[in-house]
Amino acid sequence: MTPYGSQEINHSMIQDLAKKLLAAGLIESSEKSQLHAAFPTNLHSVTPFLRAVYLALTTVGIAGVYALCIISFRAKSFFALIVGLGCIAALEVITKKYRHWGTGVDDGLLLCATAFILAFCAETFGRGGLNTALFVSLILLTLLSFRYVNFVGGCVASIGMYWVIAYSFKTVSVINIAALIVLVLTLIIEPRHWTTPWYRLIAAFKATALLAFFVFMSANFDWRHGYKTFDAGMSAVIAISFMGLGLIKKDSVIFRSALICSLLWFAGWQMKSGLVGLDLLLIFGGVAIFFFGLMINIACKSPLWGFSSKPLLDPGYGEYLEQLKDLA
Amino acid sequence: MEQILKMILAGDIVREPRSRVLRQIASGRLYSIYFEIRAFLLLGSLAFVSGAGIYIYNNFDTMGRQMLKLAILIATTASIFFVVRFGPAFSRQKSPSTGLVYDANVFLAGLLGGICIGYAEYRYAIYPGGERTATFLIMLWNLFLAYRYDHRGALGLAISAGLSFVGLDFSHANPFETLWKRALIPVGLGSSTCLAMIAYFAQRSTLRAHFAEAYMHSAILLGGGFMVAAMGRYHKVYLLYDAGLFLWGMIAWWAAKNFESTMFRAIGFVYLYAAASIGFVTVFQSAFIAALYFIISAFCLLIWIFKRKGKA
Repeated sequence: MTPYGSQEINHSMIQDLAKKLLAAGLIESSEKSQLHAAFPTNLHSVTPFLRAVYLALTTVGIAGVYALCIISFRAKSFFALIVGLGCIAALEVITKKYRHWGTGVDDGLLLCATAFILAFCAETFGRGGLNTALFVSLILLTLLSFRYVNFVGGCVASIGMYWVIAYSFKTVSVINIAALIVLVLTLIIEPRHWTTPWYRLIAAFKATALLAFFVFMSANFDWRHGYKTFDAGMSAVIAISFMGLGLIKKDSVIFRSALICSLLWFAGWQMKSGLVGLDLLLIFGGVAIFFFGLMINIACKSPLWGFSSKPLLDPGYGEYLEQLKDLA
Repeated sequence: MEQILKMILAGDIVREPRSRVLRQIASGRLYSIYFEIRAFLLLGSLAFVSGAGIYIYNNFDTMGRQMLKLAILIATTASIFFVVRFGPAFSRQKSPSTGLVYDANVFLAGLLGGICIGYAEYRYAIYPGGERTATFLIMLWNLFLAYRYDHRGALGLAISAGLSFVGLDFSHANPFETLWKRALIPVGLGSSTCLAMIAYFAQRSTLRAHFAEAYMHSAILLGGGFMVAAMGRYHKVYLLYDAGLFLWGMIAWWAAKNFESTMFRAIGFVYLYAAASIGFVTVFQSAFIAALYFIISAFCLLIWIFKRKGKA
């Protein structure tokens, strides 16, 4: 299914982590060299900064190619398809022959391929067929993301999915059911993929499903009449449930999503109650958020919770663990 | 990360006692919420102070003055007491972090101190220069906190207050009116140049030399931003300011090497490419040539960077 082997990707991730461990002082440079020798890989992956640069340059270059084609020949739809298919062909070459993985060039090609095929479908189907065009391009993006183990593509696909469902059905219950199905599916299949290249992709789908479920369960949008209502009680129950689930499963993705949900709940509840204006909302909200942060920080002092108030790859982490042991 | 660490540990390359720490992390029994706590504390401080500012502004004539003054004073005194009581001993070099809560409190003390100084001027007009002096005092207060307690957040507040002070000063009288009708452009250009010079000298001083990066960061963002603003305002000398943006890109690139900062490299790259593209498109005025330029420049840059990194 994918042009990369699981072992290749794991070795690449080990090499990346070795660099971070060395920077944090948790391993020595000789150990890093040994790790690089013991876990060899011929995949090219780069730093996040270079990835963003390559992504931007690839997108600019491909957009330039498309602009040149339509300036010269004025056949928008045809060239959108040609450029889209060209991007997929180029993606195949750079992943198979040049072994790019997460370099930004592959991200750019994947996103451009989807965008141009979406443009072609939208132009072909006309205004009435925009739903179909969105649906086709989304399926394509999901498939390409899984084939090329592309995290950026996966994130865009997972967000786009709910947008397409909302645009097509205009009913909140359908979105909730879809989010719940995706959530349950990711929770079931995630443990089986802990050592596979798709693990982070699945996590992206899970985080988006959690947030979509929270938003659409607590806010009831009426697309036809253009209004929305907010159910503060339901919102609080979901935020607390997510937090509990995150704590029980010790799942950082669920826990972080729950934190975002609780902030959204607070803002929504205050706005909906209409009892306080922006000034008091900020004052009380600020105090509540500050003390919540303080409480979590104090809770981290206890080893029972299993949280750390230090970054994991911190030079003083060993010392911190010793302190926790003493406390225990 | 735990799974990858387990693979590393299975290789038996990392030796004791380091492997013990890695094994603890790999066990997955602990996970870090450092960034979440930090975000909560800083977000809470900012929201609280913004809310207090709006509340004072909206209810100035109606609310009980004594109560208001008391509330602000208590909050400010408490945060300053916390900062002084638990603060580290003074050193001229970079001090290790005292903790998340302490850092957030220094930031809060900076913000609340600013509110107190601003309130005194707003209510009693006690400073001879009015709001300009108040802004200058806020800058001094935050500079003191930043240098005494080694806090980059307070330094950011001091720089913002300093820029507001310069802006207020120029809005009263613009000495460069023959060149620029609006004070905004000379303020931006002058302040960014001054900040870059401060960064240069700060790096060479023995007192908190690491603050040079923060000064340079503000200088580069401000300089580039104002060049773009000037391009929009003065159409006749459009290319002159485009050249200015290119110059700031070069400065950012130099700063990236000097401070070994990826952020500066990213900003420098954006400035340089944007300035070159704007210049090229303006000079040639042709959609066809512009498209060709973007294709050639993008792919040439891609290949060049790949070759430089030895990944081609």
